[in-house]
Amino acid sequence: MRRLRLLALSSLFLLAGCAGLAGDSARERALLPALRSAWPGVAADVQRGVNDGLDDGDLTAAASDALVASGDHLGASLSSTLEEAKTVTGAEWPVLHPWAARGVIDRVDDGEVGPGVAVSLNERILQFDAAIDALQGR
Amino acid sequence: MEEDLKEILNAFLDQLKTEIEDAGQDISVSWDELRMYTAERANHLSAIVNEPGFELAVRAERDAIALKAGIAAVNTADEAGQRWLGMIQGTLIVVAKVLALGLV
Repeated sequence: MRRLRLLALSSLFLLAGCAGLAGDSARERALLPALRSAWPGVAADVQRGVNDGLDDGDLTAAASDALVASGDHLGASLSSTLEEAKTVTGAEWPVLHPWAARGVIDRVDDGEVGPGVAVSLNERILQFDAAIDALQGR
Repeated sequence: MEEDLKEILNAFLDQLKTEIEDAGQDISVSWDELRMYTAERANHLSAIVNEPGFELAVRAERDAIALKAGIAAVNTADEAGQRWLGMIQGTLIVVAKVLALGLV
């Protein structure tokens, strides 16, 4: 009887754990469409930053090509499976993030956008970064 | 933010909530949190309506709100998701411009 009760309790804990995991997974999956939707805007900022780095001699052509490939990889992963998106964004986004920020600065420097618009562009990058953190379970 | 505009934002978010729930979706933050965040972003836009690149800012804020909400069906290939993004963007433009013009 006591063993049965122990078994029932263990099963309950296991079920509760699985439910928690399923909830996390659903939340992470729910982030993918929003990330996918925001990516073209963020990617444009990354591209701008990479072009600026290349123009200013801070990047070699090979390094610039590698960053563009990273961006393409990240973009494609957002239309893939949740696991693929987690793995790829976890690896690629930290590399691309500074270039997105640089792209926004370059837009302001060139007079294409005002400082308040830059705040909005940076807000999107901030939320994109937070969503990727959530996707990683951080 | 003026009371009238709060009402507009609330009406918009209530409509969005209804549509999202009817579609069997949900958001990853509370609706109150999203309400406050949207009001904050609309206020910011109202201060920059005359800056170059204002349209870029509106799209960026729309994306930021969708990311904050983690709206599951915001998908460029999804008709409902597109409509919700359009609703967010349209409301942000209206509220920001009305605030900027001091019409309330």
